[in-house]
Amino acid sequence: MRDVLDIAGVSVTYRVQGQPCVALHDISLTVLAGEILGLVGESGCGKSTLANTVLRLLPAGGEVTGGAITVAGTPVLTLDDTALRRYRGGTAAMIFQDPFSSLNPSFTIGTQLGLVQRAHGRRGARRNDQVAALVEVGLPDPESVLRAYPHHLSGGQRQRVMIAMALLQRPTLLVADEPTSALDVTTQAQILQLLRELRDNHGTTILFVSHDLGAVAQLCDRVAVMYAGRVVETGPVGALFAAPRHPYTKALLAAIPSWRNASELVTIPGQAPNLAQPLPGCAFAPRCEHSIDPCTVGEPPLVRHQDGDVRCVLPSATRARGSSGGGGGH
Amino acid sequence: MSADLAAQRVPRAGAAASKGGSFVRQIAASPSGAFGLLVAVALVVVALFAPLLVPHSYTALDIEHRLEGPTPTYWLGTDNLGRDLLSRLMMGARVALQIAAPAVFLGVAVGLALGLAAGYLGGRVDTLIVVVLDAIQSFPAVVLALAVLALLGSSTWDIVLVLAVAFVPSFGRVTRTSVQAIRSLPYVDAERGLGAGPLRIIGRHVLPNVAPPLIVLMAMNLPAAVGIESGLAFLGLGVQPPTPDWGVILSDGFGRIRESPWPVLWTCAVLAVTTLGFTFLGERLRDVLDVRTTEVRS
Amino acid sequence: MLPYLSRRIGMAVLVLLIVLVFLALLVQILPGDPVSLMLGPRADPELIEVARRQMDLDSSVPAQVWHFLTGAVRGDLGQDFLTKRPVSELIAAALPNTLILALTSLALAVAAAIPLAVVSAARQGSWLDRIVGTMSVGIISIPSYVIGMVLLLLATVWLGWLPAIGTGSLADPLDYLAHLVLPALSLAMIWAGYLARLLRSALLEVLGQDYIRAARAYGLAEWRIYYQLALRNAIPSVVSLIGVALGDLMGSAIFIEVIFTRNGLGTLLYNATTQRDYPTIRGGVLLIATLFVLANLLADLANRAINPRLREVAAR
Repeated sequence: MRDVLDIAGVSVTYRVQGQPCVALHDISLTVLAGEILGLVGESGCGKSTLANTVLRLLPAGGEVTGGAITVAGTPVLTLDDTALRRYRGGTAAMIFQDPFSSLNPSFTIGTQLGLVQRAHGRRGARRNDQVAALVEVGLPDPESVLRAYPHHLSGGQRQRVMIAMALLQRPTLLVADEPTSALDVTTQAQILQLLRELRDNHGTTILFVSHDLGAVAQLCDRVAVMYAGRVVETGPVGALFAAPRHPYTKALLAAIPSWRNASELVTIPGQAPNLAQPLPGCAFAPRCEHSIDPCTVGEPPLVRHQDGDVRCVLPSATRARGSSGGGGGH
Repeated sequence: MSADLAAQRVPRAGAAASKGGSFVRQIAASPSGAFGLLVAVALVVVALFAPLLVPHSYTALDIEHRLEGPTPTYWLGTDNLGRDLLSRLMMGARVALQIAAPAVFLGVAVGLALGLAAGYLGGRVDTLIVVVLDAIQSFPAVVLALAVLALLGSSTWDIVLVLAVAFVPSFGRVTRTSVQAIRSLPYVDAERGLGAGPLRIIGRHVLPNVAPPLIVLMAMNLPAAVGIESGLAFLGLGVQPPTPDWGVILSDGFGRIRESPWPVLWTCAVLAVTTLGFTFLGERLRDVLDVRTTEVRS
Repeated sequence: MLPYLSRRIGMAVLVLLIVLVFLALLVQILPGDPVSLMLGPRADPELIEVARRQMDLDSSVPAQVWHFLTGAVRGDLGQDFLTKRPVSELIAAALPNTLILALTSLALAVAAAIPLAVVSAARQGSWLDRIVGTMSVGIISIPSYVIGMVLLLLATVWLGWLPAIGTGSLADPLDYLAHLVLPALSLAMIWAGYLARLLRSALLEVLGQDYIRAARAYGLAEWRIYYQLALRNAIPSVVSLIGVALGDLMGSAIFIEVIFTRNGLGTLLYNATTQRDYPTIRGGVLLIATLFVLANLLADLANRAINPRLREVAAR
């Protein structure tokens, strides 16, 4: 199986009021064709930054300081303007967290779909494609949706419209940046279902960014856990949730409130690190309950296993799954 | 920035107010602010001391040398009757300020009173005042002045009055908004609960809060006053010749523009510098005082 | 929509009524006799009497206003005192020129403001942005006649490019246009910078929105994002100002028309005021006020039409 998305050693720095702030540190990830990879972590861990970088949508002040990204053979970071425009919405597409603010309030859905089509060179038979796209994402009355303005639609409908817009050009890669976070639980489930169908029916590769571990568990094949701009662990979703290797992953899973243990709310002690003033060594060490001296000396190396990677020096990380390595989540 | 859109504020790139330093230094910190301050000071000085500063008498005729360009005797040249342009323009500063300043102050006084009444008394008084202010404001000031002066005559007092009336709405609205905002603040309510009367509330809370936007507005309305007053004089209303009003000088010069462009040129320059200066000063004041108001340009 | 519309129109009518009352009052409280002012100090008392009756000055203020209104509805705005021609005729002859001037200036101003604003927003903070900003604030504070005068000097006295005075006739469009250029340019210059600055603010706010980022994510071209998407959302904030600009332009048009010796409402009013011609002053002022109020009303309505959400809020 070939890689659709290959992120190799990418680093991104933001300039915040003159201060440089390392948002992504030497990130390497691959996503195979037809795979759904979940990208999880706390707010500020860099998952949205990574998603934006794949489409080169970093805000002003953000800069890629190293590495390469390849999507279906296209070297993303070195594309010129024209090629970049063809790439965005063509080879790779993105859907966003807040469907309301991501749709232009002054134009009808039909007009906005048409703009995307025209941007990618389509001229004739546009309306048919628009209707087909809306039907595919499960909108029952496409004609009236096309005539509607964004504020006429519900949150779930808007998100479906966004997915339709993203799919118009049949992209190989779909980057979904927290697409369900702004929706209610029922609608969330529907959207997740829709995404799975896209992969099943069209083989679309999906990078699913979320802080919702439950959604990730439902939808994704593999998971990558991020902390402070680094990928700390990757693995198949089932195995990783059952037997996490990295202390942060363990803590994250332990912090999920459980109806079984209703009296106890487990949190991760400490605060998220200040990215403008990075400490030497493992970024998670100050909050890790297993940290040992070697943790504070230099970046922990990447330990490769057959089913995933870990960035940790602890012996529990280097062991294979299944052997005693600390209880997993609930 | 969204609040500023509602306020129709026009922010300038790079105009950040500096912290610390005296008030004047803050204003002078930006080039436009310094320029404005300079112009304002120069205008006031010239207006006050013009009779002492003028190189020639502004009424002295020198027909032989009329409509000449700049010479060593007459630095800016002469007008159509041979009068020294520099002297006349300097006296003109005095005339301009004599009309513009009282107009603005009167406008502030009445506007403040009306705004306080509307904001504090509310109800029908408020509605009435707002309607009247709206009516006055929905009118180009020039046209209003034109009509009034044509029918009423052109004494200085009439001009000041008309201009003041044109300015009342903007001052009134700013005050009213301020009063409404402050009235509903929790700590003001608390004071009222402790027995503080309206005068005390106005004095302690409203006035300090409404002063900055009013000051900015005054700085903005002054050049408007000068512009309108000179314009009216140019049209033959308002100040009459031979009084050396800038508008009068302009009108005289306009009549002979092909023979000598100098009267028109210098007067335009003086008017432009004055209006620009005060406007920049007002903008800078607004940045320094960090004012967010609903002002509408009159 | 309807209740809002009727409220706004009601307000507009009220304003015009106040203006009429105000003018009538003004004449009454004049020191001395208005008619003698018009006819001169040595006028025949009988003539004065006739003139007073003709201009309805003996009736009370409310009666005067009523008579005028009923006449106005029929198209009768009184009679010009000096030429004895109907005021409505004089105005009808002068109005088109003024309207053409005002609308052309506004169109020019907007046409210049849009690219200025887009470039300023795209290159926020650059020297270009700062220069445009300072200039726009500056130019609008300079009196319109100063700008007109300077342009007049430049283009006609020194360079001799364009005809200095007159209006030209509409029958000869090219000649009319040549006479229109300078006056329209003067007025446009004043407002272009200010409009550009306001539009820039609105644009910057729009450009920070998520849907602009989303548009980029779908591969839309930059120029389309600025001119079609961002602008469309930024324009409503500026439309109401265009209404104010149109009104203000009509005030400034008086000066410009006099400077460039154009036929128009401004010159008509100016001549009437120098001769204290009350009926024409009244008719002219009323018309300018009406145009001003109309302009603001239209701008407000246009604003609501453009913003689809406001349209529906108003309907409730």
